[in-house]
Amino acid sequence: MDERNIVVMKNITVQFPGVKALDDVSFSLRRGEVHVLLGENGAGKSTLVKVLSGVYKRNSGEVYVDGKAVEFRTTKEAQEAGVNIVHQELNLIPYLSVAENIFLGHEPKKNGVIDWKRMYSDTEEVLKNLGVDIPARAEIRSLSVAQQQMVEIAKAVRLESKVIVLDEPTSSLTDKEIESLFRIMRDLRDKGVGIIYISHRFDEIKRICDRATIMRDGKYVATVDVDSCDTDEMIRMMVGRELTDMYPKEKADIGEVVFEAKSFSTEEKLKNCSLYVRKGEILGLAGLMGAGRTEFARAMIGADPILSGEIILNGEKLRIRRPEDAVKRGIGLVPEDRKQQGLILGMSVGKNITLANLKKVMSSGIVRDKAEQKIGEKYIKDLNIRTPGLSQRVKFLSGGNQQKVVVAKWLMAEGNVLIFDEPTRGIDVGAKAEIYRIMSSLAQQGMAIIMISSELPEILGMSDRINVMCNGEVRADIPREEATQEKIMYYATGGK
Amino acid sequence: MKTKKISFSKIPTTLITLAALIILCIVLSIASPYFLTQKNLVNAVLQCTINATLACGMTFVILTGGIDLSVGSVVAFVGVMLGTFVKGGMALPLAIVLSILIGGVAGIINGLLVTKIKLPPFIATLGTMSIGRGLALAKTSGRSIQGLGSGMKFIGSGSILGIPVMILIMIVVFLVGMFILRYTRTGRYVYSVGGNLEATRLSGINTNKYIMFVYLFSGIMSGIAAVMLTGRLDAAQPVAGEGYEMQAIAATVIGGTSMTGGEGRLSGTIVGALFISVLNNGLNLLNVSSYIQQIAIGLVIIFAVALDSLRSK
Amino acid sequence: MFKKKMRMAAVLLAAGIMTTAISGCGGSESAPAGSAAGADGGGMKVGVVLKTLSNPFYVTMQEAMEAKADEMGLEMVLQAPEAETDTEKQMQIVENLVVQQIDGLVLAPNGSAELVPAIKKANDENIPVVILDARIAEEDLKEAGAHIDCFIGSDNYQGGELAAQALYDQLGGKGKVAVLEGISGVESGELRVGGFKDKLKELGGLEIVASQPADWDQELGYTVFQNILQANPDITGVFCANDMMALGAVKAIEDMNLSDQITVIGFDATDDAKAAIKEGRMYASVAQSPDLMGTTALDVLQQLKDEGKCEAEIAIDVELVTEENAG
Repeated sequence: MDERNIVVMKNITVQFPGVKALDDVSFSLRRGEVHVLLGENGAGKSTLVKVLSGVYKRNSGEVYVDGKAVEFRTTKEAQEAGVNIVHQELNLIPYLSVAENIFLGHEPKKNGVIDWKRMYSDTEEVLKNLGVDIPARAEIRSLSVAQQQMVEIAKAVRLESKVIVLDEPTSSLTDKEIESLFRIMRDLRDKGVGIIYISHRFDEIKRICDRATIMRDGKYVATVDVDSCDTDEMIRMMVGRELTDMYPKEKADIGEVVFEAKSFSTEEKLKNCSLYVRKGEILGLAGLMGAGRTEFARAMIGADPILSGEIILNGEKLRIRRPEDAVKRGIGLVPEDRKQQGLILGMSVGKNITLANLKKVMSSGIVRDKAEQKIGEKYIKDLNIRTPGLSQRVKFLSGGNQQKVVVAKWLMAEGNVLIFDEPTRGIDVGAKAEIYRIMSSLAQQGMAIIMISSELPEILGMSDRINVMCNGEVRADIPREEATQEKIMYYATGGK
Repeated sequence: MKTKKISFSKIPTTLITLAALIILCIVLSIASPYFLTQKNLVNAVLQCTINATLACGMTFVILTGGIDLSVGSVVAFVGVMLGTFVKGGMALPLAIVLSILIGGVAGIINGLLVTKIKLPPFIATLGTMSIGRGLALAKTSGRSIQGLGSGMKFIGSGSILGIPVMILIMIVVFLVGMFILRYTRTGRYVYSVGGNLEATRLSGINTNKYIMFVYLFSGIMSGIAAVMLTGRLDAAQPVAGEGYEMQAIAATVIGGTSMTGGEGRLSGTIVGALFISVLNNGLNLLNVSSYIQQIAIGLVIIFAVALDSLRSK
Repeated sequence: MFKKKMRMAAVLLAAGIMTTAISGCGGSESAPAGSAAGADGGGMKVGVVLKTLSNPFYVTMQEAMEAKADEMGLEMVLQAPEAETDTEKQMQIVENLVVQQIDGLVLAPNGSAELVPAIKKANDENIPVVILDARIAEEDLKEAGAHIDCFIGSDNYQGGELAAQALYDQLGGKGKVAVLEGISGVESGELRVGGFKDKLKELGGLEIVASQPADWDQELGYTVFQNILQANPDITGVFCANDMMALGAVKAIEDMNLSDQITVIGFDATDDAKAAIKEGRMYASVAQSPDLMGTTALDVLQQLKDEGKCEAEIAIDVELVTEENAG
């Protein structure tokens, strides 16, 4: 066995109901390297690291950590062996403090009781090393998602790790936070820690990663040196095909102003925010994490209470106090967190699609199965939703297909203004392109679209016009032709 | 090992409960010569009717992720009101309709506490449970109201075309419930509210309306159950219905409805209610003491829910 | 598709069970082999439904009846609900007993009218009915077209009088006293309390400052009497309509260190109460004879079978149990 390897996984197979999630996959991680796992969602990256960290059991194959054959039954056992995982989903306890969360299960003790003083001072030190400014005594629920993510990372960093797994850690971080994370990763790497990194962002991968293992459909494809392999090549291996155009934005005829939001303010965040969007237009809403874009979107559809603000749809002033008022007038939100806010995970694909406009498949007060099935099948075909059938529960679909179900719901509800909040977060490259194509064709058909996104290439690639938010205010309105990354970042970071 | 588990988890819960019920019936018919007689089977079904009716309402509430602890007390209070109406000379049909409406009002109060005052359902209905019981006792000074006449007796022990009225009521209640859940917008949204409240709300659905509905429905079921119980005993007791909420929850849970909401069926609930009643009936026939009966029911609940959580893993 | 079929099958099967139940499975009414043997006095099968088995009074009754049944060569099926207020459960038990083709039913009812439909079911099968301990109202029986063959009960009113006399003597004819009542509307309790109050009025001197129901329950006896003591700290005696409540009251008194001040009299003379009396924690209890009551019921059923008739009402005597005869 190669002495340089800290982790060796050989011929791993994992069988889930109906699918082979991993099929004879082998993987090795060296001491002191950052190794990225690449693949579309559903390729098996998360499954592989969950096998390593004891979340899933393998059906066959061998795992060695530091030369010893292991079979972790729980994540705790994995932790004891020095393997720590920072999950995509946050696993923090909202009512405990940052320090309590970081030390959960490993509280420092003095004379048999918790040594609070040391716990707080150690926490402060860890956070300082990470370059983040979060008070050790703050309750988790008072933190932003990005801050919570940093706490998760701090938790893994603090433990004496030989191996750290970071599962899409940067998806909710600001650039500054990403910089500190990378600095920490380099420090750990130099100390000989092996880091497994899961990400879809090639700019980051190029900067931080040494090697890449590419997976597709639960199978191993290749392991390459990141420096000597270009991005297109890696994408080609991931998807098994050439991606000709990542942002298939097509020219749409832009018409009159359809939707206008005027002077929205809320107690917490928004300060006099306004925007408008025209028929056939995609309005990009850019900004850093915490700029207030999601809050603005929720306020517009009446999901949260507001201090002031009004909606004008096709020249008519609307009273929107609850989401139902918005939905009735064809205004829909594809939320940022589709599992928590967009879908009924335990319900079938078909029932999720008809959720917002059930009356379309009803007659004489009765839900008609046939009509529901016909409409469901139409959207499955139109949007190319990959599912074994209409009766499949949504929770078993991949992220991209779940997102398409949410979109289908709003098409079914005859929406004419659609707000997409981070439409491609956590979605693999192939499905991303499909979502873009859908948005583009919806715009062509005359829908007005507002797209909130934290990914600048996405904003630049898809938008006809870009509004930039910062600190609860809309700071800039930039036409597509004049937009550059630098310009957007200038406004997003507070420039006026 | 793995493959076995997969095929197992595909079998609908209702069917497993039903299989358990059938096995129970076979065992009991071997153990007691009296079990498989017409009279006894009628008894077993009769004895589940009241609980099944309450469990029907409870299933709606639990599907939204809520709970209704007040049903037993509402049964007592509605029963007492019914007794008072009848004794006061009110026409029986009017008295019955009025009583069921009182159950509905109790449900509306529960619904308002949950949707408007935003109390957790457990707390809201714990409160109304105590209030209902207190009202029933205060109304009657703790005494039962007896001798309600032939109309009430007909409900309790009469039959139409050879079928006991109590069983007919239960069948109608379940058909209505199943229809609502399967074919109406209300039914669909009951499931989606329980599956994901926020996603349902953001889909433009007035979630409070449907939460209100399930408590109203449960209240009406309590009202109907009160009429049935009062008819069966030919008396209205302020202490009646104690512990009925737990029995109804047990039937619902044994029938495979998830306590977290969003998943479950009424067909399961009726099988669950039958199961409890057949088990009680069989243990009675076998002269097993009431203590052991309680232990048996407890084990069944634990087993049913454990099975469900193992299956969903 | 498979799933749908299974679901359909489930519904159909459930419906099947119910229709079988409703329509009767092929009219298989044939009498099971067991009951045919009961030709002579021996093989009689008797169903007994007590109020509950969580009250020692009925446990004593149960034990005596079991011994007696063995002696007489009877087959006895004895059941009881968990709670003494649960009439519906008693009804279910009676229904389940009736289908077993019992030759006699002994019932200690949890309500005075609620069990009438159950009694009617036994009547319809020509099963003799003996009511124990608590009376079923005559007019309710008549209205339903039901009847009972015999009522066996303690002379509760007399018991109440005995308790009043004992308390009067012990307190020297003056002071404030309290009463803990049973569940409202239950005849035995009303009679006990009635006898007590009537006798006390007749004797004069003692004042009843509180009379509250504690539902036959020890826990409630404790809390209710604690509350009474808060309002009336100068109470010197309490009469409880059963021993469970009396023991609850004793506990409340001991918690407040008032044992020397307050005389407690209970009813039923259960083993626990007798022990408390011997230890001097409780003054007296009115002894019913649950054992005698139970065995008498079996005798009556035997008599009915042999002679075809019996007395309509049998009163079982009560006596006062104090430290001297608590042994």
